[in-house]
Amino acid sequence: MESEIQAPITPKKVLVVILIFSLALFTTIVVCLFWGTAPIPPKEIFSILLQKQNPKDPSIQILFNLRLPRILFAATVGYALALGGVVFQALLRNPLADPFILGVSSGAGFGAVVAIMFGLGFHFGVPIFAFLGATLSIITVMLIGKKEMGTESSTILLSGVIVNAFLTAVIMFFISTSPDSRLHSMLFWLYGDLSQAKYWPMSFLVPILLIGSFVIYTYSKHLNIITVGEDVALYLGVDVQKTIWFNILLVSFLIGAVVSFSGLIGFVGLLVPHLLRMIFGADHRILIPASALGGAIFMVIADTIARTIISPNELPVGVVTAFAGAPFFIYLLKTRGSRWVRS
Amino acid sequence: MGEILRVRDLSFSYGDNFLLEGINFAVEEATILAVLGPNGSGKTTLLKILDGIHRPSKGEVFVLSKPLWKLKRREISRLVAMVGQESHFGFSFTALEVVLMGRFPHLKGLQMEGKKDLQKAKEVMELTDTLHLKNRSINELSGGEKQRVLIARALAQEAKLMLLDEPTSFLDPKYKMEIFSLLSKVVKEKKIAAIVVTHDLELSTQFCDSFLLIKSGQVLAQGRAEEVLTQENIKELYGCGTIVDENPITKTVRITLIPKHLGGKRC
Repeated sequence: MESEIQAPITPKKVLVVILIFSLALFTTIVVCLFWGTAPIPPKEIFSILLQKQNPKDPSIQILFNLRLPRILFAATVGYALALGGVVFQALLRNPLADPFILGVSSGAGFGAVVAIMFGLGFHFGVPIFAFLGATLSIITVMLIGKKEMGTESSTILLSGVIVNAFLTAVIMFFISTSPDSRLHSMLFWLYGDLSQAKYWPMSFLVPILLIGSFVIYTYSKHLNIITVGEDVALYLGVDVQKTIWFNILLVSFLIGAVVSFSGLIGFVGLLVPHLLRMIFGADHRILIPASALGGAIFMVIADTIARTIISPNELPVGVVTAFAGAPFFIYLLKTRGSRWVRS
Repeated sequence: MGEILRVRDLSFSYGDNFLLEGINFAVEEATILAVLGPNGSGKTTLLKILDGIHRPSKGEVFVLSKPLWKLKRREISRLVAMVGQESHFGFSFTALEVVLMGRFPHLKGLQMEGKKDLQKAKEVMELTDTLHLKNRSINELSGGEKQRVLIARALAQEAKLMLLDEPTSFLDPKYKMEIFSLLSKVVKEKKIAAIVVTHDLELSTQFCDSFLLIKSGQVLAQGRAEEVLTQENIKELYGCGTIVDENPITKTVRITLIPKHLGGKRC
C-alpha cells in the first residue's frame, strides 16, 4: 500500500521551470551578444556596459543598434512561434502541427504583403491584415481537413502544406510583379530575416505576447483535455468550441503580429515543444511556459548561427531552422507517424 | 432508494428523421441499467442526450431532479460522467494524469489539483485497482487496464450518473467480466447509477438490474431481465434465434444464440 500520491504538477514546479528557462534565456542573450562578424572582445563589452566608453564608438553602435535589437527580436519571434506550435498541436491533437506547416505564417505574410501594397501603416494596418490572413488560412486548413474523421487525421497537415504552398506562391507573385520597394526582399518573406530588427516593433510585440500567452495559459487545463479528444473534453465539462476558436484566433493574432516583422520562419513551433514534451510530459501547464521561453532561446541561438556561420555574409534564419527542423520532422513522421507516443 | 435519473417523453429528431421517440424511464441509485439494441438504433444518441451534449427535440431529462438542459457544461459534468470509446490518446499522459482530468469540473480557473483532489484520485484508483499503474503512460496499458483508468476518471468526477458506451467491446472474456464486476461494485459503494450501452447479452444479464430495449429509436421493452429478455423480444430486437433459460449457477437469465442454419430460424 502506498501512503500518498505525488501531485504530477504543483504551482512551485511551474514557477521553478519558468525561472530556470528565464535565466537560461538571459544567459543565452548575453553570450550571443559576444558573437558576431565584427569581433568585440568581452573586456570591451564589459567596459561598454559599465559606460566607460565613448558613446560614438563603433563597438557601441554594433552592440546596441545592431546586435542587441536583433537578439531581442529573435527571442520575441521564437517565443511566439513555439507558443503557436504548442497550442496548435493541442487544439488539432497532432504533434506535427506548427504555425509554419499549417500555413498560418504564410497566411499572416500574405495579409501583411496585401496591407503593405495598399500602403497601410505599419503600426496598425499590417498587423491587422496579418492577423486576418493568419485566421483565414487556419480556418481554410481546418475546413479542408475536418471533413470526415475529425481533426486528428493527417489531412489537416496535408491541407496545411497545400495552403502554405499556395500562399507562399501568392506572396512571391505580389513581390515579383510589384516595383514597390516597401515590399522588402524576397528572402525576408521566404526564409525569415531578422537582420533589419529595430527596437520599436518590440515595444508593442512584447506586451502583446506576454498578455496573450498569459491568457492562453489560463486555458492550459482545457488544452490538456482537448488533446484527449473533443468529445472527452465535453464529457469533462470543457466548453470545447469556445476554447478551440478563441485560442485559434488569439494565436493567429500573435503569429500574425510577429510574422509581419520577421518573415516566414519554419519548424520552431515543431521542434521546441516536442523536445520539451519529452522532458516534462504532456501537461500544458508546464509545456506552455517552457515552450515559449524555450522557443526564444532556440531562436536566439539559431539567429546567432545564421549571422556568424558564413561570416562576413549571413544566412536567413529560416535556413538554419529548416536545416535543424526538416530532418527532425521526417524523423518524427517515420518513427511515430502522425501520432505521438512518449519514448 | 433514491432516484438518480428520470427521462420523460424524450424524442430526438434530426431534420424530419426521428432518431428517438417517446422514451420514458428512470434509474435508481446503486443500480445498473443496460441499454440493448442493434447498431444504429439510437443508443449512443441517447447517451449523448443524457450527458447534455445533444438537446432533445421533445421531453425532459432530470438528474437528481435538476433539469439537465438548464445546466452549464461544467455543472453537468459534476452530475453525469461518460466513459466513451477512447481508443488512443494523441499525447501521452500518465494514468494518474488521466484520472486527475476527472477533477477538472471541480477546479476553478488556474487552480491546480490539491490535496483533496489527489486523495480522491487515490481513492478511485484503489477502487478500480489501477493505483499501481499511476505512472504508466496511458497508451502502454492493455485494453482492460485502460478501461479501468477511464472508469476511475469518471469516478473522480464524483458524478451521480455514469454512462458507459460499449465498455467491453474489444476486450477478452476475462477483462469483460472484470469491467462488469467493477461496475456493479462501484455503483453500490458510491451509491451512484450506471447506464451501460452494450451488446454483451451474456454478462449484462448477470450484472445489470434493469434493461431498456431500443429498436429504431423506440422502446421495445423495459424492465427486469426475466420480464423483457424473452425469446420473442430478442428475435424482434436483433433478428436472431436464441434459447432463453436460467443459468444453473447464478440463477440469472441465460441467453444462447442459435445460428440460422442450425435451426435458429424456428426459435
